Amino acid sequence: MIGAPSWRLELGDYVSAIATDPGGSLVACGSLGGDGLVADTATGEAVTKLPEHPFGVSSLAWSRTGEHLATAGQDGIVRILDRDAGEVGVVATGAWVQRVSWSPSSGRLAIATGKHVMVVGADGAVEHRYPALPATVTDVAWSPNGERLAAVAYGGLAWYAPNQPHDALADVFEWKGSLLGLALSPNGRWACAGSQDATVHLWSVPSGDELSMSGYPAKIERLMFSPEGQWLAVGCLGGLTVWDFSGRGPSGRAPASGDVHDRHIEAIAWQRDGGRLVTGCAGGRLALWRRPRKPRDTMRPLELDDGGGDVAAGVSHLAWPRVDLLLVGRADGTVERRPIGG
Amino acid sequence: MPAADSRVPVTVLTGFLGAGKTTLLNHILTAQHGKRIAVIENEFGEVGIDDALVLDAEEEIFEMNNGCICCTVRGDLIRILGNLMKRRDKFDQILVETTGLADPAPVAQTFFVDDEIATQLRLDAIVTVVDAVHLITHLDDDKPEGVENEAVEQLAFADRVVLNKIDLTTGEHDLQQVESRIRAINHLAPIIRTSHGQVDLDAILDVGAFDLTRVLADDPEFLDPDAEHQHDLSVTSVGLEVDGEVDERKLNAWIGALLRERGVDIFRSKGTLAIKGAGSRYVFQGVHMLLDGQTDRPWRDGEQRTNRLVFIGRNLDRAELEAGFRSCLA
Repeated sequence: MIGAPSWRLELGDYVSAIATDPGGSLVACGSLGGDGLVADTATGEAVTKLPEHPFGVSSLAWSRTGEHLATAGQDGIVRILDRDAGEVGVVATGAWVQRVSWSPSSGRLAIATGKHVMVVGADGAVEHRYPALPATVTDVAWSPNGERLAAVAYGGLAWYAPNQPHDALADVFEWKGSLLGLALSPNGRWACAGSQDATVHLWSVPSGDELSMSGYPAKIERLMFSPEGQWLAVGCLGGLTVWDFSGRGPSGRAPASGDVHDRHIEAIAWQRDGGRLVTGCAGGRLALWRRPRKPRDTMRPLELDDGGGDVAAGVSHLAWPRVDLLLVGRADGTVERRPIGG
Repeated sequence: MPAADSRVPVTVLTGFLGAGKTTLLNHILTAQHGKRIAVIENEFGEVGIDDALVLDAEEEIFEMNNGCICCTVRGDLIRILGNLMKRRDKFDQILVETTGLADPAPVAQTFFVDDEIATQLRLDAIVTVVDAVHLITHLDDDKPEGVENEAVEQLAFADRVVLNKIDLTTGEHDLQQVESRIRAINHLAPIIRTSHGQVDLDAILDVGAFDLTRVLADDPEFLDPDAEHQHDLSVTSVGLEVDGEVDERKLNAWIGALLRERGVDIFRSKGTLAIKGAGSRYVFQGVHMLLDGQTDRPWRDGEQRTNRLVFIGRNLDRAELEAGFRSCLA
């Protein structure tokens, strides 16, 4: 059901970011070599080249309307471009930019740069530069209604209220550990973070009641809610676990799990309707899964793909904006489109 | 070094401000060694060399495992090294320079606790640069109760000590005095005398500071329980050499308990071991509570099975360590 690549393009170095526009017609991709381009998802042909980010592209994001593309790099620069890659705004943040994320409700962009979170307008004008957190911000995410912005770092999860004129923290969920990846549930009730200490932390929002899920073999950087919000997929060394967030949440429920990767899961992508998901690991393997039927399910993949004979380069990024459009970025600098049947 | 270890070696460069770290770094980068080197610095120095990548890092120390100080790591290094290892242009050697007053432990421990780093990179050696003229003053610097003397700590962690600025000392007698102070703390690390950081790079890069055979054989006094090492010093080295094979289960239990209970005081540990039932030597090195070990070369026919261990730390009791290790013999 994972078809042969319908096209493949070459970025030359480890693919560090992939983002598709809301319509799924354009894909922006960037590499740790610093190059990036926008390609037509139908043909794989490059439409425009992106301005370079020396030391590597770290994050790419299309705005809600698809009007703007934000590109960010380890050079500390964030650029806001129009669909023709014309520069609309530029922000020199002064530190390695880890992530950029557009508000789901307005034309504003959140930036994680060094120990700071910033919020800028679509023209790059700075609206907020929040006080430094104790350590480098590793991820940011907007609440589904765009009212709040969450950031994780060593020391916990910080909440901001970008609609307020001031720069005060709205709330903090403290945690003594190095948090690496963040996922907010689509219903706004849960905030989940992966940690360097091989645990997943869940907070009930807004109470801040905390749950820890341990038993993982290594640090956790990849976690993603299914679009309808029932399932949280967590990728780790070797295995996928999927937690059930229906009803009162995952407390007391064992996760469903599947174990077909021999390396770190580097990327997770859910199908839009939440029916299936794809995982990709540093060993190059792709696995297509049906969502669990129930908690504690032992998941068996619908299909495994190891690149058809050749040793496939490690998977670094995935995007699955339409059922027939799975994009796979790899450690060797290639981006490929894989048709998915069914 | 076991031939099978293809991990990229990492050299950690420590030393007091003014000891000559930057000079040594410049020498490493400009010497014609044909290696692709990446340097991670804590402050932008004046290095900028064609074939090297110089990255700036802001020291960010994290505690793992709920506040155990033995499990502090450098979060910034995990991030920077993680990205570096993903890039297509691979490096033959990575250098991490620490600030003058830094405790080397979090840097070293970073290579043990993050599995992605540990599978791709190997802590090759901690190289401590000291100033031959001022070292003794720094070592004798009185610190308030509970505050570690950084110069002592940096020496205790060293796999190699670069004794720099010897041209500024008043002669051999001075140098021997400085060296004897270094050895009293760290008996294991070879001392390399130099001026202006002009060190033979083979002596400090990719040295595989694992193998204890030669070091201990060269210096039998180190292993002698009756030799009067300086008991007035709280940071010392203990070397053990015990013939026979050890039982793996007993060994794990003993060393696990030792490092759990005394890990705060034990800065470095190293060993070459003969495990019962194993056809090859086993080598390990540790920083505080964390250990990294692997199978080394096969034992030769008829080769005497000998275990060699070294501990460098505070208030070490040789008799207790030796008795503990002997209880692990199969």
